[in-house]
Amino acid sequence: MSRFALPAFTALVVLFTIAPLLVLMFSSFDDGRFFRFPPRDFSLRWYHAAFASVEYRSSLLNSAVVGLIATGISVTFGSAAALGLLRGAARSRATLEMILVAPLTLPLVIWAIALLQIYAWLGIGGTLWGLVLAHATFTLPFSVRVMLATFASIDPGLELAARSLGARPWRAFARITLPLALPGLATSAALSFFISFNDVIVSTFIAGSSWITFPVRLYSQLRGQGIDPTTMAIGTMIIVSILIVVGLTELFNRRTLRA
Amino acid sequence: MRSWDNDGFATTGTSARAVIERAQTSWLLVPGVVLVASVFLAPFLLLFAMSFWSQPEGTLLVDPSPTLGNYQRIFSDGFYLRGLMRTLWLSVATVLISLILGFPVAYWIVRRARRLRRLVTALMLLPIVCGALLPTLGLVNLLSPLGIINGSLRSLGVIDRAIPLLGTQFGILIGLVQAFLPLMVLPLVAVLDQVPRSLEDAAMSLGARPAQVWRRVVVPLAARGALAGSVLVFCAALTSFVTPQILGQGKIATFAAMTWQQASLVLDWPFAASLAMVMLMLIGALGVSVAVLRRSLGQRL
Amino acid sequence: MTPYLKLRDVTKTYDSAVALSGVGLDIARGEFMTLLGPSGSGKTTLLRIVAGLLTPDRGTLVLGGDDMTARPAWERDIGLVFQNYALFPHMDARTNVGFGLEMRGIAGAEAARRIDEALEIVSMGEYGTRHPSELSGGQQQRIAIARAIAIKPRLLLLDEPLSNLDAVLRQSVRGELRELHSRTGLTTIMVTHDQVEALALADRVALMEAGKIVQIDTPERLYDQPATAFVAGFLGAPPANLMPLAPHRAPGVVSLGGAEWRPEGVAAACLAGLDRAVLLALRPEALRIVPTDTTGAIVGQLRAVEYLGGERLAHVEVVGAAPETPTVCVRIGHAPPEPGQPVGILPDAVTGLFDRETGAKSALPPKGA
Repeated sequence: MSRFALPAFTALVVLFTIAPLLVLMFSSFDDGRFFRFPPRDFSLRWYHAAFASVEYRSSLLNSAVVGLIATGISVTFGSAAALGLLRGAARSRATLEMILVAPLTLPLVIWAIALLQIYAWLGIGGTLWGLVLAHATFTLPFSVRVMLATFASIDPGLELAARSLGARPWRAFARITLPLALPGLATSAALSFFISFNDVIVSTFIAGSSWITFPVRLYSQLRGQGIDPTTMAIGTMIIVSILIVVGLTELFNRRTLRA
Repeated sequence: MRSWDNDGFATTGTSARAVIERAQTSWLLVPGVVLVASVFLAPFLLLFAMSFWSQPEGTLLVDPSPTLGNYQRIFSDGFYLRGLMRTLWLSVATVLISLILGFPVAYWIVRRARRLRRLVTALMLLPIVCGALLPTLGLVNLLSPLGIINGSLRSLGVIDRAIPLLGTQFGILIGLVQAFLPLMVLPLVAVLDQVPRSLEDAAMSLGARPAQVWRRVVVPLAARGALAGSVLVFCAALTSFVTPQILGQGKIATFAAMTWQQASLVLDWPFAASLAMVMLMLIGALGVSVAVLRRSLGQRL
Repeated sequence: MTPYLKLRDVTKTYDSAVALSGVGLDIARGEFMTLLGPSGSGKTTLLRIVAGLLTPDRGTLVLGGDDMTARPAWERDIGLVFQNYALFPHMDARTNVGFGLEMRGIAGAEAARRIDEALEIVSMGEYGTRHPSELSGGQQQRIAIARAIAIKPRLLLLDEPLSNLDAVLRQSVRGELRELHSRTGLTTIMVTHDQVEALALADRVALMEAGKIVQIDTPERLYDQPATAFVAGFLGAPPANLMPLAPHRAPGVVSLGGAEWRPEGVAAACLAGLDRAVLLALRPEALRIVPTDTTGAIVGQLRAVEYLGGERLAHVEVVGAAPETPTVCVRIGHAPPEPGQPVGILPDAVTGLFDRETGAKSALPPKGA
C-alpha cells in the first residue's frame, strides 16, 4: 500500500460523509426554482425568501424554544448523573450508566410509537412540554457521555488539594471542578441543542398541530410538495451556525485549558 | 489485588475518588435515571402491551382485549414480509459498506491524524448533529436526475439519459451509509485507541508485512469495535424511515416507513406498535447473538 | 516531652482489605519524619488520614494538643504536597499559591505579601504569572510546595515528592527539601518508597509493612539494628542476605541451609547457644571473599559477578545447601576469582537473627550459656 493511499481514502470517505451538506449549501445559492447542475444562475433569492417567510420563522422559533429548554434539562441532569456515576458507589455503576444512555442504544422510532399513545392519554401530544420532555430524554445520553469524559479527565486530586488548603467541599467543587468542566458543559449544551433542534424522527410522531418544529414542517413538505429552495437557504444557515458554535466551543476549550 | 498505595493521590484517580464521599453523591443520579426510566424505558412496556390490542377498522377507538391479530397480519401479508426482507438486506448492506469504508478511516484517525484528528472527528459527527433531514435534502440534489452526479456526467458527455438514483434501492443505500457511517467509525476509533502502537511495531519487527500486520494484529484487536459499530449501524438502518422515504420518493417502503405510516397516517396505533415490536425483537435477537459472540471473543482477547 | 503529633490505634479497611491496622506514631515538633515502605504497605493511606482526606475506621489523631480525628480536611491547617502536585490548571502560579489564603479570607496586601514570601522560599519569585502548563515538572513542584506552606501549616505532608522528577533533579531537590525544612522549621512527614530518599532526608524513619509500622528509628539504627527480618531484607541495595540457619548435632557447628558451617570469631559469638531454626541476616558489605580453607568461612561456589562501577557484587552459592537456599550476595572491591571457582565467605558482623515464621528478632540465650 502506498503512503498516500490511506490518507486519500480517508479524505474521500470524509468528503462522502459531508458531501450532502456541501451540496445543500451549494444549491441554496442556485437561483432556479428547481435545482439543476450545473446551475444557470446564482443568487441570494432564497435567503431573502427565508427571512421574509413568517411560517418558517415561527417553526424555527418553535424548534429553538424546545431546543433551549430541553438542553437546559439535558445538561443539568446529565452533568449531575455523570458526577454521580463517577463518584458514587461503583457496584451499580454499569447498570445505571446503561439506563442513562439507553436512548442512544435503543431506536427512537420504536420508542416514539409508544410515546404517541402515552401522550394521547396525558393530553400533551403536540404541546411544547410534550416535545421538551421527549427531547430532554433523548439528548440526555449525549450530555451524560460528554460530562463523564469531562469529569473523568479532571484530576480528583485537585479538589482534594483545595480541601487541604481550606476549601469546603462545595466551594472546592465550585472553584476548581466547575471551571475546568466549562468546556465540557459547552460541548454538551451545543450537542444537545442541535440534536434537539434538528430532530425529526421523534418529533414527527408526537408533534401535533399546535407546536410544529422546523424539521417536522420540512418533512411533511418534502413528502407532499417536494423541495422548497427556501428551506435550502435555512438549512445552510443552520449548518453554518452549527459550524460557528463548534468552532467557538473549540476555541473556548483551548483557552480554558491553556495547553 | 488492588493496591492502595503505589500511585499517589491522583495518577489513576480511582483511589482519590474513593475519598470523595460516596453516599452523598448518589442522589445526583436520581433526576437523570428517573427521566430515562419513566419517559424512555417505561413506554417500551406499554408498546409490548399495545401490540396485542386492536383497533376495529374504520374507528380510532382502541380495543384493549389481547389478540394476536396484528402479528398474524404482519406475518401473513406479503406486503409486510417483503418490506421486512428489503429492509433487512438494506441494513446488512449498509453495515458491510460502512465497515469497509469506516475501518481505514478509524485507523487513520487513531494512527496518522495527529493535528487533524479533532477536525476529522468533528466532521464525521456533523451528520449526527444535523439530524436526518438536512443531509437528505442535500442528497436529493446530489442524486436527482438534474442533480450533481447526473449533471456532471451529462456535461462530461458520459451519459445522455439520467441514471435513476432517486427512487432506487441504490440511492437509499447511499443515504443510509452516509447517515450512519459515523456510528461505525466512532466505536472503531474508541477500540483502536486502546491498542498500543507497539503491537504493530512488534509484528513488523517479527517480519510481518503491512498487510499481514493488518490481518493478524489490527483487525482482530479491533473486532470488538467493529462488532459494536455494526450493531449500531444495523439498528439505525433497520429503523430509519426519513432517509428511505425521501430518497425512495415514496416508491420503496422500508419496514420503519410502514410503521410510521400506520402510526401517523393510518392512525392504527396498535398495529404500528406490533410492527415496532417486530423491529425490537429483531434487535433483541441481534443483541443476544452479539453478546454470545462477544463472550467467545472475550475468551481469546 | 509530649509529642506534637500523636497517632493512636489508627485502623482503616477498604472494602475488606485492611490498609492500616492499629498504627501508633509520635512525632516531635520540628521533626522530619519519613514513612517508608513498599507499595501497598499503607503509607499513603496513613498520610491521607493525617491530612483529613480519609476517615479512619478507628483511632485518634492529636496535633499540638487538639484532637483532629473528627475535623475535616479544610479545617486542619495541614499543608499537603501531592505526588502529581495537583496544581489548579486554570489558575496561574500566584493564584495557586494564594488559594489557601483566599479560603481563609485573606486578601489584598497581606495575601500578596504572603504569596511573595512563599514563592521566595522556593525561589520561584519570577514565575508567579505562569500557568502550570507553562512550568517544568520541577517548577510545578516548587509551586506546589509554596502553595502548601503559604497557609503557614501546622504540619507539612509530602507525598512521594521526588518520584516524578528525573534522576539529576532528584539529587538537588533532595537537598532543597532538607534546606526548606531547616529554614521553615515545619514539622514534616514525607511518604516515599525509595529508601535512599528516606535515609538521606529524615530525622527518623517509620518503616511500614502490610498496614503496620514495623520499626521507627533513626536511619542509622534502622539500618544497623533492624527489628524484623522484613526490615533487614528491605533496607540496603542490595538488602541483607537472609539465610536459613539451624542448630547442628555437632558442637560448634550450625546448619546453613543444610550445609555445615563452623563459625568463628564474631559470628561464633553471636550464634553460640543457637537452639532453634532462624533467619540469619548478613549485610553484603559485612562479608568478605576468602580462600575456602580459611577458618570460620562458609564454603561456596562463585556463581556470578555484577560490576556496579567501583565495586562488584559476587553471588555465591553455599556448597551443600538445599536447592531452595538463596545465594549469598557479597559486596567486594577488587576483581574476584572467575565464576565457577570455589570460594569462602567470612562474615565480619552479624546484622541479626530472626524468627523463621514471624520474622521477629530472635533473642538467643546469653553468651556462654
